Amino acid sequence: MLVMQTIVNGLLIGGVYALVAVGFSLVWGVANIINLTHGVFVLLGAYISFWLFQLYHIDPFLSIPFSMAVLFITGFLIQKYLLNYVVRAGVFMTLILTFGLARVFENQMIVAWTGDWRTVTTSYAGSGFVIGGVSIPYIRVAVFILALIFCICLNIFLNRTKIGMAIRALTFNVEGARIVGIDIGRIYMITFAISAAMAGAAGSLISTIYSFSPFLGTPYLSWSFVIVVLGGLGSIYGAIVGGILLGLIESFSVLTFGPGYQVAIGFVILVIFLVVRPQGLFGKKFLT
Amino acid sequence: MRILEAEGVTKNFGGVCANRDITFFIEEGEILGLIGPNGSGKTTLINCIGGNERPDKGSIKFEGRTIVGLRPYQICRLGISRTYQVVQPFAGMTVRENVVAGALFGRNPHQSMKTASRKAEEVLEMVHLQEKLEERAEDLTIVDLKRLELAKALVGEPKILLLDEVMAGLTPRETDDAMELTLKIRKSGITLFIVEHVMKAVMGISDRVMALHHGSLMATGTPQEIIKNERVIQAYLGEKFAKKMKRDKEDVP
Amino acid sequence: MREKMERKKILKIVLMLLILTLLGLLPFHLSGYWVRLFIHIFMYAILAESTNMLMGFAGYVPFGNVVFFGMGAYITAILMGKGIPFFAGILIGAAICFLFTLAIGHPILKMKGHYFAIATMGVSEAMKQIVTNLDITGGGSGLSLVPLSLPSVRDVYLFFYFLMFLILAITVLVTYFISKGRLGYALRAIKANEEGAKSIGINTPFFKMIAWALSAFFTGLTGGVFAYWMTYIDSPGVFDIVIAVKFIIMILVGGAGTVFGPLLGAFFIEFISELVWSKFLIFHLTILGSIIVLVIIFMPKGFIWFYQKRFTLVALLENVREGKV
Repeated sequence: MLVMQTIVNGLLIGGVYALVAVGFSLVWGVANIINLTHGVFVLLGAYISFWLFQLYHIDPFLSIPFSMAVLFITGFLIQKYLLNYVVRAGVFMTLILTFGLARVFENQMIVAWTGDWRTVTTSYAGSGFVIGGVSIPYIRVAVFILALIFCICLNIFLNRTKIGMAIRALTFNVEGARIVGIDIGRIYMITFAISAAMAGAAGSLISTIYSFSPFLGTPYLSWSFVIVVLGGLGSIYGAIVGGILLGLIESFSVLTFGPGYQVAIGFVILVIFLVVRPQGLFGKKFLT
Repeated sequence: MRILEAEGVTKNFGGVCANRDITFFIEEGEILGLIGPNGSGKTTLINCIGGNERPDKGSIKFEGRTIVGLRPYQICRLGISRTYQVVQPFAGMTVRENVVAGALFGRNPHQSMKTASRKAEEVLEMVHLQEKLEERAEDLTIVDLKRLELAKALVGEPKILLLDEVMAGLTPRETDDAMELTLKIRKSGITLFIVEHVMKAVMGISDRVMALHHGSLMATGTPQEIIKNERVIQAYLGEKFAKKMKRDKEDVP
Repeated sequence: MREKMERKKILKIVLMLLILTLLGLLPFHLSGYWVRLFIHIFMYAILAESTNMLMGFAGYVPFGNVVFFGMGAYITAILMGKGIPFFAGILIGAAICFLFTLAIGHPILKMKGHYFAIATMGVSEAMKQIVTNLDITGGGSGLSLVPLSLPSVRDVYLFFYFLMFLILAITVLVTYFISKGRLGYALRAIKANEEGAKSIGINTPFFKMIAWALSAFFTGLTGGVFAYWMTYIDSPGVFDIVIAVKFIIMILVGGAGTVFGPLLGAFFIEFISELVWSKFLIFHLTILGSIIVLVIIFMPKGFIWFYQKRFTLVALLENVREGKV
């Protein structure tokens, strides 16, 4: 029974992890930018939901559009005024730049909201249903379903809309895209903005089930890394599978080794994948 | 003495068969040319010899010793050097430093800096780059980059030099200089295996020529024999033209 | 022309001797606060200088190199706890770090650029968690060391000041010899064009491993000294990824692949860190982060490069143009 519970837990949280990672994977696959601010974006989404809940009693699920909008604009501006100036200098430059930016954001979050742990606890938080001895909270199911819906919507957007296809064109051939007249800079801005918005949505969802503080940026970022490596770069299915896989790994490692080793295990698996199958389960061969 | 022997070399990339059961040899001291239309597998063959690719089937022996499975740097140490079709200079380093690097790690890797530097200067003079020793590699013209590429391969004191389309993009005058340089290199005792599209060059200096087509070895022979070989003509110029040439030949009494 | 170069060389040597003398006399005339600051700066300079051996020369960026700092610190702390003397402890710690890279180097160095960086981060994060959970390392509560006992607190400062300085000097010397010798050529060729390097006879995995192992050795050594200096270490403190990114930024700011670049980067960043810390405690990270962003946009090749370009504004704008999408 414990095993079933572990599986269900892992599965449900895995869905959210997938949403956390999907934007990270997108930006990396499209623009070859490893965005170290990504974890911070997730936190921002959480804090926005928290703020709206505390001040105006807005249900966290309803605050999602708002946090997505804020993050979309933030991401757009960051790409437009900062990242677009170093993109061609190589992936390490963007890495360091986003690292610096992440520190700035982190600092500001500490100033604004202090380092205390926060959660968003709604009136319906505790309730759930029980199937065969396994307890399944409503919120976790809702979060899981919403996370998957967002991923699927993103996938549809990328495959069926003009902008989406322009974005996908860039993952294959930047110069080719330039030749057919696609404005690379603008596409990068939109991609980064979408990535941030997804992270924000994930953050808002997470705020309902986990507590958070300004220092959680790095762990969420690390999880995004692992998921991208597991699932494969630039693939949304990969992010979903990778996220769920990671959720299960985390669940089971807590069950087997107790809390405290899940990061180590996650990273050992990451390194193994990098050695054995760097393109992940579904991704294309890494971009150099 | 056959310095290089290849037997049944086969290499596939997914669905494409780049090299199909290729068997040939290179005599010590000769210049062997390799021609063939684009996509016929010439560079793949060079890669297989140089260790950059591993043939799926077949053997390649250098001085009697199997080299399949060895890594590129080991093959270089044994005495096989190569140039790349798309030149691979060390950007960020000067011309001199580029060649010194080649000298430090070639067939005689235990050299002092002084000897390596001297050797580098000698080779650079041979390829006529002695005026540009302190220039940065990335600032060179394409012709000079090819010279640099050659110098890097030569300074390692190879026994065989594999040249991959060195003459592409050269003016007729530059091609003549390149041919002269190639003969000079052979004179110094190095065996040459040259892949070329520039017919004047490859036919002009090769002792023998091999022709590839769709990954298979089509014909081997002296330049004169190859030029008249029907299958070669067909491969390069198409069936219609080959037929026309045959008819023209038959018309002449 | 020859004379000018000779004169420049002599000037450089004189300058270096002056600075060395200055640094040698400094701790005797400054307050404890400043001596501590310098020890801190020397420490980061060593970290930057050693990681530069792999990163600056070969172009492989080991984000997780801080793992050796932590390993050195913990190994030294554990060994000293068992009665092994300090100098033996730090050398053993450094040696273990060296061997560790040789053991895991092969699969990890095969990876391309940023995958290598991420893998090293993975190793670092994993090690951090493992160490937090073991008993021998004191688990979550960290480890204490018996402090160095000398007649006065000032003497302790002097000890660590000169020790860090000595290690820094050795690291700089090693870097200098690397840059002039075969290893330097091999690494630079690898950085410029790894495929081309292989074809001219360079055993690329071997040289990459040596460079990484050397960087691990000196980083581990420094970790050990740090542990003794602080007399208390804990897992998140010594395996902190922020330390790693800091010294990577120092390498970039100062000039990757140069002998003195990382030093300059370390001095600059740590000085600014300190000045800002005392005045704007609450915005410390914001300012540091902003500096990083600006440096990356305008001066990614580092300070040494900027000096070579004679500090012109045009050069800065050139960087922007090169990087812009």
